[in-house]
Amino acid sequence: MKLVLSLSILISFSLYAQTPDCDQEDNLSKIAKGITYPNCNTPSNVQAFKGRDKSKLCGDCKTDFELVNGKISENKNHVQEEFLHSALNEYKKNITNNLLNSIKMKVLYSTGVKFEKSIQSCKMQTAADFAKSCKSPAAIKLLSQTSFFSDLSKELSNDVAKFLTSDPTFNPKPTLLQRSEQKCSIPEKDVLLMSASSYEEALNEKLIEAIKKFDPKKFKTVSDMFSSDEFLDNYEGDIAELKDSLYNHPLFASHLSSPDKFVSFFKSVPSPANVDNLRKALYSKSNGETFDTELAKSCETSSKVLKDTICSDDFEAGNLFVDPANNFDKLKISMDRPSEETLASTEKLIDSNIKLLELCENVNSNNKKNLSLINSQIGVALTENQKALNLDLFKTEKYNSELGSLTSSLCGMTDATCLAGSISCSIFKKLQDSKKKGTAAAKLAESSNSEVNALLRSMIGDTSKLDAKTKDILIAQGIIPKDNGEVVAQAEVERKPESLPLSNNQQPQNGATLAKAAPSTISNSASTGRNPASSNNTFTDEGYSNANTASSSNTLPDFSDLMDDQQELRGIQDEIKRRLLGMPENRPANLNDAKKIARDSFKSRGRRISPEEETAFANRMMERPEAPVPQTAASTFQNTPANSDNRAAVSGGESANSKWRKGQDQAALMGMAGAQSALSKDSANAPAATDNKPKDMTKVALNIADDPQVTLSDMFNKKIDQNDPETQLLKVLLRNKNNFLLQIKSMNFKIVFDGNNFNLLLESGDRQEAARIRPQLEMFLKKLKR
Amino acid sequence: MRFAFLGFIIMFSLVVHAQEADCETETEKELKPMIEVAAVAVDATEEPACPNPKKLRGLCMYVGSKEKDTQMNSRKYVWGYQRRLFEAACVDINKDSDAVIASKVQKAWNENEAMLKCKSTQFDITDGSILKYAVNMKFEEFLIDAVRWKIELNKVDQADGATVLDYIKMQIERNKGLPSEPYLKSYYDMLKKAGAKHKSEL
Repeated sequence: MKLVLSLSILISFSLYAQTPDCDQEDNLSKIAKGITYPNCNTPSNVQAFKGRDKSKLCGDCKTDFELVNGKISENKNHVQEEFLHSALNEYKKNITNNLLNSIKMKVLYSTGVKFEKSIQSCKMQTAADFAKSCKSPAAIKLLSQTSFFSDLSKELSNDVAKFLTSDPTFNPKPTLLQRSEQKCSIPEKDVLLMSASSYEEALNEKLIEAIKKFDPKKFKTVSDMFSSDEFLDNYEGDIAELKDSLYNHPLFASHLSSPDKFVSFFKSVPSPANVDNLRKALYSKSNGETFDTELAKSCETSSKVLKDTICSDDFEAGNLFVDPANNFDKLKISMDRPSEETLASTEKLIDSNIKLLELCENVNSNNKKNLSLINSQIGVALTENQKALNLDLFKTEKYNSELGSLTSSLCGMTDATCLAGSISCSIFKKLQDSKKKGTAAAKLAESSNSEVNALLRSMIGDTSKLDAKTKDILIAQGIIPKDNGEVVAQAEVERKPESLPLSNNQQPQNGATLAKAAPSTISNSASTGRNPASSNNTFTDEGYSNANTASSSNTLPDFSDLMDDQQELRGIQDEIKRRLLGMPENRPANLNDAKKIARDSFKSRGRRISPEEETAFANRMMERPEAPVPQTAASTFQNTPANSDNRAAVSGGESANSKWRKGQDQAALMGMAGAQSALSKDSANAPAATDNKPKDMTKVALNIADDPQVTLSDMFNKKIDQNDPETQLLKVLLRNKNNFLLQIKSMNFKIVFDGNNFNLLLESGDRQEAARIRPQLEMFLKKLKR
Repeated sequence: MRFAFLGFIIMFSLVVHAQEADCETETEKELKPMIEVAAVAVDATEEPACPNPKKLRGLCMYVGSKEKDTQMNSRKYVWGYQRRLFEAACVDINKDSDAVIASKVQKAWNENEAMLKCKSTQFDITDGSILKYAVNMKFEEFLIDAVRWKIELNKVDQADGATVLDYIKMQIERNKGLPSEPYLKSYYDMLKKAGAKHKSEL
């Protein structure tokens, strides 16, 4: 019996032993593969070890490799180098985040805060700053070998210039953000501006009042709150869109860190919680100070952790744990890893593995500086997802999340596909509307944001090695001073929401001008950069210094359309006035200057003007941005490819006049009839106003179609609506009371001003026909003059 | 002797059972999900509130933010979207097998596809499918789950007239030479392997 029992037990054991293991074959093949190819440095291997016990890569795999290739010791220098490389990249990521938030502040209303803390804490650090009182000679040596800091300064400057320019052809290198190609071009500042405004307006009164009543303790995260029934019942839009939007708003972001903070902020919004009151709370001084404090904290913490780490005794001693499996993507070796195919049984395999395994620690890592931890502390302002990305990927993703995806979406959007109620549709509409009205926006456009400029200046640091074009943009924006130390002056206006209440059609901005006219025929004016209403609903933009060559044959847009950036423009305008009228460069063009310009200009032509005339002339120069003088300038800028030469004059270019002439020549070559005439008067606008000789007058040809079905009045009204280039030129001439010649069909009229009124005189052509069209024509011109 | 024989028989049957439990036959494997799906159908009739579309309203937000689940008391939730989707699909995380979960999620997905479109300023398509949004946000885990749950991958979005595979291809072209290109290519391969097609192939 015992025998049978034993036998049965034995049989069952043997049967158990034979039970097939469904995964056995796989495991065996994996082991076999590992023995045949002891390659730890494959993406799949590194990926497989990611997040697991750190001993796996530096233990099991390393042991397998050492069995074949001999012992690999930890390489202190290599570890230090990789550690520093990764930590510096994380530092750059954090700076990118800080810069972007600061740039956004430039286009928003003012909070009245001077950013004193941030200016101090976010000041550009150099290698020398880090090396100062640094205990680690190894760190000092490594820092001296890297161009990280000089590159960083350049990247920051280029990014600021790229954000603020309207020139789509301006793509400076290197930059912090990796921009992908877009289907159309919309100035980045416009996207930032319009989106921030739309985000604010997305929060309706009903929702804000509801949030005020929320009990924050009910929610673990802000996302939980957003997806709660209480929230959803009060918000008709898409909460994903709303949340993303609020995260992208620099003054909201800090309130999204916890439900408590979120609710607290909304409780500070006065009732009724409409958008105006929301903006009061958002742009309040205390909220501005919160922004300043957090930005300063981010800058300070980031650089302090970096410095404390690399200058520590631990760094010097090599007590560093780079955790190669988890940080692989952030290491230098990851960038030059050969492909898996190349690696098989070659020397590269051995080298590559040695390089990786040299980073493995041999002793307990608890007392070492842990790269993962340090990186997380350096990237203090980054989200967990952003922290996980290596620098290259971060640069792409950050661009896409802040600008790229939205721009792409706006490029493809039409009135038909614009989904009412969505935030992106609201941004789209704002971009469309921005060209129509601009009164309040214009004030903001020309206003100074000296506080943010000071912050940006502090962040940029050394500007001695900047490219000319970048430098010019930053100078014109008042961010960095000219070579002589002078900062381009910008008008000071109260940049508060209550003093500049904007409708949905009017946006706050600084450093950006909302174009006034939006002729659908203009495809190459700066205005179209923010004008999706062009015939194919795509955005094109040339703005600041466009090299527009393709479609500018008959384009002479309104002056304000030509230059997106009023601040930039003002600097250029000043220089143009000086150059045209013989003023010394780099001298402020205020009212007194303008009077002197007028006086000198006339004097040089052997004429004298009365003090009244002098004042009138000066006022005209100072008060009318669309005056023909700057228009001439703008035309030149618009049509001068890569005209950094012209802009160089802003900072005191030496051959300004010759370049100016060159610009005119180019404009003439573009075949701009009206522009050519206007340009031909570059000997100043003042004489044009007093000298009525026909040969000096601008000639405008007005195209009127012969259509018996359409009345003359309708035809003229259509012209006004279309606001085509000729109409725009007429507007400029009429509003500046310039005498000019007008050709309609075979008739030539002369428009001569007498004070505020003009006389319409027939110079040549069919008298009867002229008499017939005169009433409508006069009406048309009067409308344009208004 | 009788006891010994009985013991032998019991041991033998245990062994046979053990073998059966570890390695299912092909027929059993094929039938198992069907049986479970049938069970789900029965369950569904008992719970009229399932799937619950209200729970899907914040799904895009969880995909966009790649948030981890904050309630760590369950064994299976890792991501916020999983909880949201499972709650909408009435998945019982502690009872339902993977096959049941998949079928419940499919049901919730199919019945509420119109709600699974995302709007975001970080998304280049307004009202594009949540799958495309996940691609755009480089949220690989969501795509892996979608494949695991056998979600319909070949819907053509009204917003852009393209399938998710078309969208990825377009993104690859836009990101040529950029660091995100390899990620996009891996999504392309993964979804194609799972049966995703271009619009032109449908």
